[in-house]
Amino acid sequence: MKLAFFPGCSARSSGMEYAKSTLELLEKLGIEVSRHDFNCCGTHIVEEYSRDIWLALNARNLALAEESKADIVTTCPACYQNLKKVNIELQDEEVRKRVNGILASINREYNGGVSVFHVIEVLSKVADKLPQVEGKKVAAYYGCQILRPPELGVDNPENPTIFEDLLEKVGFNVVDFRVKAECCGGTLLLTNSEGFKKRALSIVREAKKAGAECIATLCPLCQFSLEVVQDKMPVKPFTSLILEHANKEIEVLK
Amino acid sequence: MKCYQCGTCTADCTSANLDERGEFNPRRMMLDYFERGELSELCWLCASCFKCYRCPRGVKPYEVLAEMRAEYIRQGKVPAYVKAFVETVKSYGELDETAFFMKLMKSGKIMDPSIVLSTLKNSIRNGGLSKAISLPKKSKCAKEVSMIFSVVEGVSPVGERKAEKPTVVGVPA
Repeated sequence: MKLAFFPGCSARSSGMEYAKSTLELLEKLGIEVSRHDFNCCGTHIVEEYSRDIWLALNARNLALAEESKADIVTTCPACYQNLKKVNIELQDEEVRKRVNGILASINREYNGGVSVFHVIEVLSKVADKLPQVEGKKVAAYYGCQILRPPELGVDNPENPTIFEDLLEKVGFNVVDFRVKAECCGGTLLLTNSEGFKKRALSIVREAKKAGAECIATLCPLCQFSLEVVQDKMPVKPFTSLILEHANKEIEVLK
Repeated sequence: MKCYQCGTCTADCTSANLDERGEFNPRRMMLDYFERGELSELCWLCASCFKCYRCPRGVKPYEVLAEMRAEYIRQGKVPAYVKAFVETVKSYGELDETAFFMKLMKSGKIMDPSIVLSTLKNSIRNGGLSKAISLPKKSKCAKEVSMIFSVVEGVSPVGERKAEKPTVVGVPA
């Protein structure tokens, strides 16, 4: 499986640690990823601003991966959702033709041949090869866009287990975390900052109540939100956690 | 409309649960929109958390609220953060966070100082000073991205478009 790494915009600043640790972990596991000149997925903001621009932005990214015969793996659930959503729309020949009409202006074309994955899906498949870690008590926090809407999610949105399964397999002691699929409030940062703080803090409080020593995130925005509102509870991208606490050499997959 | 007024969307809603005054009510917003064509500015406070996917009647309130926001944009009523976001992507190819926040400040948006401070602190801890105060930088793809925008938009700038959905101008089918 050839994979193109889609870092998402946050990887250049607020999500730098998550992207870096993901690349390091993939490399240690012998999973090669190619790098491309990807653009912003646009998120729902560009989708609402102009559907055609949003379709074309994501089609360009899919086209870049297709040119090198690779599937896409991303760390960001928002990028994941947008790429996947557009990819589904572009399976329709008429929509694809129309969007390729826009891409023609930059000499690109997408033929619908790429699959989109989140890094949790990729790492779950090779969980047995991941390093064993000490049994730190961790709350696995999914947030929203990795699960909902269900047709674009990685697991059952009502009772997801993919994240806990992976963390348990590498030796973490995963606590029962009842708000694991609630919203961190991150998207409210600019529109309702009081609501944002209240929401993010309530997630942290629940993790503490559940007995967690650390919160594991898989979304750069959740990571930002839970980290920015407090500094008592450690919050870490799950890839950093796995790397940091590895007490065994990673077997190289080849 | 398929909605039978059970209120599941509103009971589950992140923003409704944060609103002690009870004004954020997606059920009512949808009713007003479909029955009287009324838009509610509260749609900008939706967290896009998709909790309302649970609707037993298969209504997708998150899509209805997204359509309300799209309608506002078509009418030229674009919030500052949306404008800053779109303009940043358009000229940088990516959401360059420094450029985005500079545009926001220029538009008069005041950020919560406690969040700004703590963001800086975390940035320095995670990536050093260079991460905390990086200069805006265009991506390599910026040219192609700008081209996509101009092809789709024709010549109309952000927020000044006519009320119809954007159409592709000057591109062979």
